[in-house]
Amino acid sequence: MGHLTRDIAVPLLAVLGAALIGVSLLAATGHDPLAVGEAFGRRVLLRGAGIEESAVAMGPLLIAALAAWIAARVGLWNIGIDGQVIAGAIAAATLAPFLDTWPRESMWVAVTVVAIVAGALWALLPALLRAHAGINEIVTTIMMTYVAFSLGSWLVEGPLRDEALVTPVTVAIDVGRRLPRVFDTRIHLGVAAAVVIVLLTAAAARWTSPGILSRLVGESAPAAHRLGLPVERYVVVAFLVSGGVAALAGVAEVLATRGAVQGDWRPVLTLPAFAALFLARQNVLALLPAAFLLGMLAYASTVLPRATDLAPDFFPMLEGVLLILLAVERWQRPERAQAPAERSI
Amino acid sequence: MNVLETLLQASVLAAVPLMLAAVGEAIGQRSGLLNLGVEGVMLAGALVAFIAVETSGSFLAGLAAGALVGAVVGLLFGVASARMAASQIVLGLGIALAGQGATGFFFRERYGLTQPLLEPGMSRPISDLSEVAVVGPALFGHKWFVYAAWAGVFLIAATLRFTRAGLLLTATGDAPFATEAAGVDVTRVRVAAATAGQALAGLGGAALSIVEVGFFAPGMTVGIGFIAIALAMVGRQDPLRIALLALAFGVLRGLGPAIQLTEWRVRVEFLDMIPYIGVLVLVVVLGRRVRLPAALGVAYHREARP
Repeated sequence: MGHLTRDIAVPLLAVLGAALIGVSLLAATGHDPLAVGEAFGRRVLLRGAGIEESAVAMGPLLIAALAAWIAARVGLWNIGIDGQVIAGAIAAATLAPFLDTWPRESMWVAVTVVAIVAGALWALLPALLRAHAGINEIVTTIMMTYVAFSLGSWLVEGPLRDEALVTPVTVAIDVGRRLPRVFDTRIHLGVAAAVVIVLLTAAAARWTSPGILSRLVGESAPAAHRLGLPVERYVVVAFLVSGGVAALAGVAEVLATRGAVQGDWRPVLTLPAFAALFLARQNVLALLPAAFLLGMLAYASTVLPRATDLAPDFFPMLEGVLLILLAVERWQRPERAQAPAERSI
Repeated sequence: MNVLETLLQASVLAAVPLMLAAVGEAIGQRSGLLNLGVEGVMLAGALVAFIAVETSGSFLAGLAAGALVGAVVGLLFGVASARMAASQIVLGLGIALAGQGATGFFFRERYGLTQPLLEPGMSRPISDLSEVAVVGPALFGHKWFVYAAWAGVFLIAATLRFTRAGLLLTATGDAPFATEAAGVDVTRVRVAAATAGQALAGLGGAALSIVEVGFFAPGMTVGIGFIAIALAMVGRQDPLRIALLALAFGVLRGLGPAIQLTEWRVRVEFLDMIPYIGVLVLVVVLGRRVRLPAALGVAYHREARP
């Protein structure tokens, strides 16, 4: 099988396999698969508003998948995307009310820049530990996420809380100062920006020297080191960029989706991001269709439970099944096994 | 009971799910398999055990069901990663995600928005001695499963250290090619290790839902499965070292409920953070001294012998 055929056939088969498993589970739990399928078609797939809402839901997933892709490019696993999203959202929600008098466009730029810095800072400790102490980033990034969950809750329930409201939530941005919708659709500017960022990243990866060399670092750090590349710097910078990009999903929550951060908000983007990453077979442009598919599932998980009496967790479960099927295809080739990477915890 | 006694007793209890899951993960790691899906396996074990107890009334059936579901997931993980050379990390992330989704789905399907509680039915074999000051409740006031879990960990430690099977397991993770040359089927050892290890993780989940708290809630593990992976690594895959670390984390997890019994007013969010910051500190302090199995995470291909 050629590369292209394989790159198209494998994701399609994985999606088909996950769908089949989903249908069997529906039948096994007493749901009518046809009714659920019909509701999916009518409310999500074949309805203009369904497609637009799926695109809105795609935005954060696309950003998170891009963050996972950037870290994977240099051979790292950023499993702490949710924490970096919270860091970005909290930074945005903290700053935005102070910029009340600014023109809204300047406010967006300032808030975004500060949020990117916050997301990068949240990725700094795992990045430094990985680059300079050889400590595996998987465990540290996950722990940083749980710390962010608690710290974020405390900030929203304490210092950042809007005292005028009963439920803990930060001071909301006026609807008129949020990101506008594009072309008279439900899709906001943040989603369009996410698509542009993915295209820019693809261009940078292909046509700039750090973009090309980062691939070498990811494929073989020892080889990159022998060629004189500053591997540690690549690792730290890529991880900070990954965290900064992830923070954009938090900015979208504050500047577009809700206008504020709610006390019990727990983004669940990290693992779906990896489902998108491997569905796209780690091709940055293919993240677009992959994230859109997961966006449809995310939107379906908000509308189908009401229409069909289906528990919303059905859709995350399907994403997990999809990731497992993709993992089975991503077998490790024998030649890779000969070169154990430098490993520590 | 005073605050200190409550803290110590809660810590010993809270250590059990983490200890079982971490020791289970360590068994897999010794064979060369890194399973990041412990969180999902624990949730599956917790839900299945809860349903088993709720329908049959038997805690033993619950524990068996939790271990069984863990063993099934472990077997599938072992076959996919050891026989089919699937990417262990991607597979583990998939198991974590599918486990979170599936347990939430099946729990809501079965119980809707109700939150049933179990009767506290498990016996406490040596509670007569729990009147002893300070350490009494922590040492003697527990349900029988807590003692069984500790005995099991000692048994596993002895098995790993003193039996041929234990040595083969370690050899498989450190030098798969040499082990195969000695006439051992590396793939089979890894599949067996994954099955047994994740059975322990499922049992850990069961301990969380039916022994420690008496209910199931979607996402109730809140990262314990990931902490277990960290402890297995930092504890150098040694069950006794892992058990002590788990006990320390039991204290960190028990601090929250204990401090709320005192006069101090500390925000609950800060108490929630303590275990995760504890892992970060532990990894930073001990991380450089950790030695992992040489072939951890690397698929074994007989034909790729160096």
